Amino acid sequence: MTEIKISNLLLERGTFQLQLDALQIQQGEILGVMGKSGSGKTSLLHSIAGFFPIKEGQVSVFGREISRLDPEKRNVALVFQKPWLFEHQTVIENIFFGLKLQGVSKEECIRQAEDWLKKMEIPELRDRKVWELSGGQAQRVSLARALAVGFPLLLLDEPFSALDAPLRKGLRALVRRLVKESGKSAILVSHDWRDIEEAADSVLILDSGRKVAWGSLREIKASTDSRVKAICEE
Amino acid sequence: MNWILSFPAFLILIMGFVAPLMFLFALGLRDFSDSVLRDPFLLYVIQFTYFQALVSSVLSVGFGFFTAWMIKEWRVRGGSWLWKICLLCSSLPAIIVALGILGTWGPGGLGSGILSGTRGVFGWTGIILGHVFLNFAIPLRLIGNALRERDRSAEMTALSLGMSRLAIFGQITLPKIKPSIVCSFILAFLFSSTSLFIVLFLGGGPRFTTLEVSLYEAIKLNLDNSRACQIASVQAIICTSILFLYLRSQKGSFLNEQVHRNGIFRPRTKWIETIGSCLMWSLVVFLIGLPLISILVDGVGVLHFLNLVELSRAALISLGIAFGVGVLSLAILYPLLHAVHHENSSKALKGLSWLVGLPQFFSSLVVALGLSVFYPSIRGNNLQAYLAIVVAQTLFVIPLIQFPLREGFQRYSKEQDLTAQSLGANRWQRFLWVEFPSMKRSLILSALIAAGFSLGEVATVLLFSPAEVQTLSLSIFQAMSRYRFQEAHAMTVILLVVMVLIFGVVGRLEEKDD
Amino acid sequence: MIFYFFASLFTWAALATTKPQPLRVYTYDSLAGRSTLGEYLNQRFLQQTGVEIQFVSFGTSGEALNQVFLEGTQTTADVLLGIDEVLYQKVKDKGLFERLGDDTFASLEPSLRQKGDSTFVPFDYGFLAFLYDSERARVTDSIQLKDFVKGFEKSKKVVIQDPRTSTLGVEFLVWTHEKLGDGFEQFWRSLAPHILTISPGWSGAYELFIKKQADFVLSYTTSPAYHRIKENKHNIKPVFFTDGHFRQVEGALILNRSKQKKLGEQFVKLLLSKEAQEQVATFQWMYPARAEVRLPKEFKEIPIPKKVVVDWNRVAALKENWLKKWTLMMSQVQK
Repeated sequence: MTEIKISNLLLERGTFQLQLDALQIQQGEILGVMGKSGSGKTSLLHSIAGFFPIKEGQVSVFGREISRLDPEKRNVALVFQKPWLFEHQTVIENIFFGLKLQGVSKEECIRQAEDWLKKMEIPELRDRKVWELSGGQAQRVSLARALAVGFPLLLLDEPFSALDAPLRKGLRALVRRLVKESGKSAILVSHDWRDIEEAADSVLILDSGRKVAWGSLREIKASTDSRVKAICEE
Repeated sequence: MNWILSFPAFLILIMGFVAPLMFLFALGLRDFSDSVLRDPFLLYVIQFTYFQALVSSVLSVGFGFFTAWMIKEWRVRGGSWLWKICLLCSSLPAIIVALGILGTWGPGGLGSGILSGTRGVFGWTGIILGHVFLNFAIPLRLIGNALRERDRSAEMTALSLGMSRLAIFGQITLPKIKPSIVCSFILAFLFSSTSLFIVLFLGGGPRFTTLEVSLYEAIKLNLDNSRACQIASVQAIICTSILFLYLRSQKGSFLNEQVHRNGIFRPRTKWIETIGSCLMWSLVVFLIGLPLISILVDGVGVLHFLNLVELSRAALISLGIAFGVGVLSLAILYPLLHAVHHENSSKALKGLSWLVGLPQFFSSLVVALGLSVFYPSIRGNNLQAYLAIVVAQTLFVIPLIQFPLREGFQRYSKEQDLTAQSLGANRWQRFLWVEFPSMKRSLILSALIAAGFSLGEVATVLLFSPAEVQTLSLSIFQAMSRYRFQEAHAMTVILLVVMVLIFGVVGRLEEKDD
Repeated sequence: MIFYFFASLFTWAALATTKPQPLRVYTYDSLAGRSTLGEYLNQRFLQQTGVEIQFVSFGTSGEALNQVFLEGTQTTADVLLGIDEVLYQKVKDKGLFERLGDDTFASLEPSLRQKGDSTFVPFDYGFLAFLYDSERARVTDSIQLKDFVKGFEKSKKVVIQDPRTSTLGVEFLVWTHEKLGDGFEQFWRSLAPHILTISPGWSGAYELFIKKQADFVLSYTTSPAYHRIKENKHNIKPVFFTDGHFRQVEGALILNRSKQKKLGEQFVKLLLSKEAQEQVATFQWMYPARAEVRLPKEFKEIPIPKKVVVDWNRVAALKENWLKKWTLMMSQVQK
């Protein structure tokens, strides 16, 4: 079943334009998006989240058309490059923030959040204040927060780029495993091929707001298109 | 939606400030004759007003900059206490400051020996001392915050490449904090040029007359409203010019770099640190501490003169008004700044939002005269009077609290808001559960500053209050005018203690970022 | 339920409209508020008439008067209280005040009533004088105003009030003109080096004197009575000039735009009653305007000086010029 479907998407802001005729993501699939700076990767992500206006086209998730909905109604969780944790809350409170909004009871919120802390391998950080966390720890909490809310689609906007190499490696694998286990779909934007290679199932390559290539990881790796090679090898 | 949120702020600005002022100018300019400008004494007054303001503001900025540097860069010992004491100074009623300076530097005071052989504290000395006392906290806060917020990585890089600290200061540090220096100079100049009580009490006589004093004189006894309006018009035109300079200086005056906090200007040996700390504390004690001690000494010995019933009543009324001012000023300013910082607000709205600071650019006497002329029937009716006092004080408080609120909004990032939205939080949920908690510190800070200002404020209470409304500050004035000087001194101590408590908390909240 | 709600609402509204309108009295702040003559008058007035007095207080009587001008025909003031004679000269011909019958003035000291005037009702008076502390300074007996500064040691300091902002200051200016004539400028030039400061108001000047920062302060001959009664101190004394002292008279005025003139007249009657006038001394620290009122003994111990005769028409015509001249002169003479 096609979980996420994008058709005839047109984004415009000033002189920038992004056009995407069709894109599909299956349930449980992780789509990696790559491209040079200014190619439209982040704009694509933000338009799905509802933070970048869609001029034309449609985005549907689970058969539900979301392109005209307010961001809070789209059931799409966005993770930024920096963690952007809520400073007035502890780690566990950050994680169950989304659950609380859905009316889940406090006990259940805590139970689920503790579960995610274990999955993220940071149970000891439960009651810490967010400013006490290292960069890697904070990003794990941010990811746990986005996963805990249970939305079918997860958008990851360069979530590993602020981390050092060992941390990135560990987190890539962890994110892939957790997304697969939860049955969600995800779109991962990165300018680092290693992130895509280790975490994604399929890849979309953008250049100047246009689709250059889209296919499975193997297909993209085998592509002879010089633009694809240039982006993947950067 | 943005304009709806901004509406209360612009409404109070227009009905409480712009309309009364325009009405006042219309009255003044209707009978305007150039005899006002050909009056030689008035020309002298204009010259004196801005010359003393220039000297006062240069010294205020100098002292404020030095103190900010010592606290934020040098990390002088006891710096957090120093910060709190200094913040307190700018919020004391001018009349209390004048009494403190007189008690220290006047005849018979501790420091009077230094001034013997001169005219003493009255005149230039008193005016400068008083203005520096009241205004140095402006550069202290603005420059201090700029020093704290700047990114020091460029300085550290330059040092590692062999540049001297002096050169680093001149070529890297100073350009970063220059907007805050300019901004604080303009504000200190403005407040010095429109100050009234310091010039009245410490100047003394026609030679030390400013435009504000001339205005006061025209209203108080001469019943010359026409002349008052004309002087107010001249002053307002000059103030408006200063306003434009100030708005231009705003660009770049907010830094929020928050990277690499470790400084390179710290003292390199314990000895230098100790000597520097002693010098700093000596200077502050000399200029600031002695007048405050003088007030306490005068008042503590006569606390038994306090009429506790009257004091409690006055304190309750003062606190009630202060609470009202705190709540109203936040209720008006917060939605406006929220609209400016978070929604997709237009450039026009962002620009117009700075207009809420307008009242601080005009003398309180001019604003009070405008209100009095535009709403003549408010006096005497208790409920209307309370409301008028709260609204008038709110007008003056909003310019003061917009800085901590804007800083709070700067720290609350757009991405946090987007994250919460993507997790399913609607507008109200984001406000209640994310924005408001993270703004809590700025809100408390602003409310305390508003309350502190209100407690020391007298002009609006004098203007609007019926006889039954006696605030603490007003009680001090009235006790003095009824021979009850000891009671006035005792109440001054109480007011000072309350101010110390409030600004102690303010200082504590501000230093949490360090 | 709804019926009772509307019934009570109606009753409340009816009561609100039938409650008598208070008498609005504009005055300076020392006359209104707690523990003042104003509070006493309010209590008595309420007992006598069932109507409250609503005091609207200002920093000075000048501001109170100015507010009446600003309010114009919309003024809600019924009575102006605490206006002095100098200020009155500015406004007496503007037709703002109600003329009262001779019986209103019958109980007063005869010299207090201005000739040909039936609007200004004196209620207290005092004599301007320089005060000194006999423990710190000595003053020669039998001197005249022009000789005040002669013989002053260089270190002796005087505090006076600014005639641009203080009633007392204006009155002293008028006094020096009326008494010294052409010698006015010379007097001020000789006084100038001894002036510690020119204070904006009475309280600031008196504070400096009390704190021993000045040796002489311009106040009233009756000010020492406060210290004698409240503090049991007898060292503060007035300097008496043989050629007389300026007498300040404060009065009440009923506005002819008032809708409660009858009540205003009752207020004036109460103000001049024996009981109220007996309170004047220890509330205002001035003499009561009513003749033959019992005074505290501390007041009787202070001699009543000779009064300087003032030509009010001349004062009205020339005061502004005197003020301008004084301002220019002092701006040059002050160091």
